[in-house]
Formats: sequence, structure tokens, C-alpha cells
Amino acid sequence: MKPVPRYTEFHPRWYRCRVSTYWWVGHRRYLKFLLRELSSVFVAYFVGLTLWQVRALAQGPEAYERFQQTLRSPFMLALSGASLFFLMVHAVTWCNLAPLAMVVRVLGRRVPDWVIAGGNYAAWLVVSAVVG
Amino acid sequence: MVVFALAVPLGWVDPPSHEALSNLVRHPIGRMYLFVLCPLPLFHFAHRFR
Repeated sequence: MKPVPRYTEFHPRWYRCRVSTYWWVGHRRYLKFLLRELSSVFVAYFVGLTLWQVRALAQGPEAYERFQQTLRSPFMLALSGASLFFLMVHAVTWCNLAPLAMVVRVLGRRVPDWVIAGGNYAAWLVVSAVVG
Repeated sequence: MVVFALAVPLGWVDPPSHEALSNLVRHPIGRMYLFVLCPLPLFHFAHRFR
């Protein structure tokens, strides 16, 4: 005789394999990708720092001096160093990725990858030189 | 980041005076630069972080 199955009026829970939120930490490729995405936080930090500086400038010479004093603290210097590192990672990875993101054709021929990447690096250098 | 957050605080270069920097920020080209420099990177950050 067959066993009678037990029914319930509620829908059974789906089986879902539990995956850690940080599963990507153990995978080098995904870790690199996530670190690249997280480096955009430092892009926002740079804008915040610039706006803070403009605010200090608008408030007068004393506020500007206080702003500069704050930037001289070891914590802020360490944060600035880390920010610079992640901003460089962000910029370099983008320049290297640009040939894959932009496929440019001239006279029916695809522009070589190194020309597009080189153009990005050149533009970066020119803008940095002008702003600096 | 290099100039204002590292070079000036570490004493590698002399800090620009308040007056000189204020004039630069108030200049139309300076304003235009800030107008572009601020929103676009924030949009870039938000697009990646959302």
C-alpha cells in the first residue's frame, strides 16, 4: 500500500542554497572587479573634499587655514594616499578597458586597441597638466 | 588629489593663498570647471555603487 502524502494548506518553502554576501572575496577575478567598482567611492570622496575646500574658501581665510590644518593630520594624509591609489587604479583600469568599450571604425577598419587606450592616457596627461 | 590633499599638506609645494584660490574659484572658467568636475564624478560613483 502506498503511503498517503501529507498535505499542508501552506506553500512549502523553496530550497535555496545559502550563499555568503562576501563569496567574491575568495575569487581573485571577482575581488579585482569588486575593488574596481568600490574604488568609485574614492571618486565621490574626491568631489566631497573639493566641495569642502570651496566651502572653506567661501567662509574666509581662517576657515581655509583650518581646512588645511585638517588635511595635515595623519589620518587625512593616510586617507588621501589611499584615495590616490584607488583613483589611479580606477583611471588605469578604465584606460585599459576603453578599447573594449569603444569600438571605433575608420574607413571600414577597426581602430587598433593601443590607439584608443593611448588616446585615453594622452587625454588624461593633457588634462592633468592643464589643471596642475 | 595630488596637489591639494598630498603635496600641499606634506609641504612639497607652497599652499596657494586664500585670495588667489578664491579668485580662481570665482573666475567663470573656474566655476565652469567645478560645475563639470563635481556632478559628473558623483554620477559616475552613483552608477557604480547603486
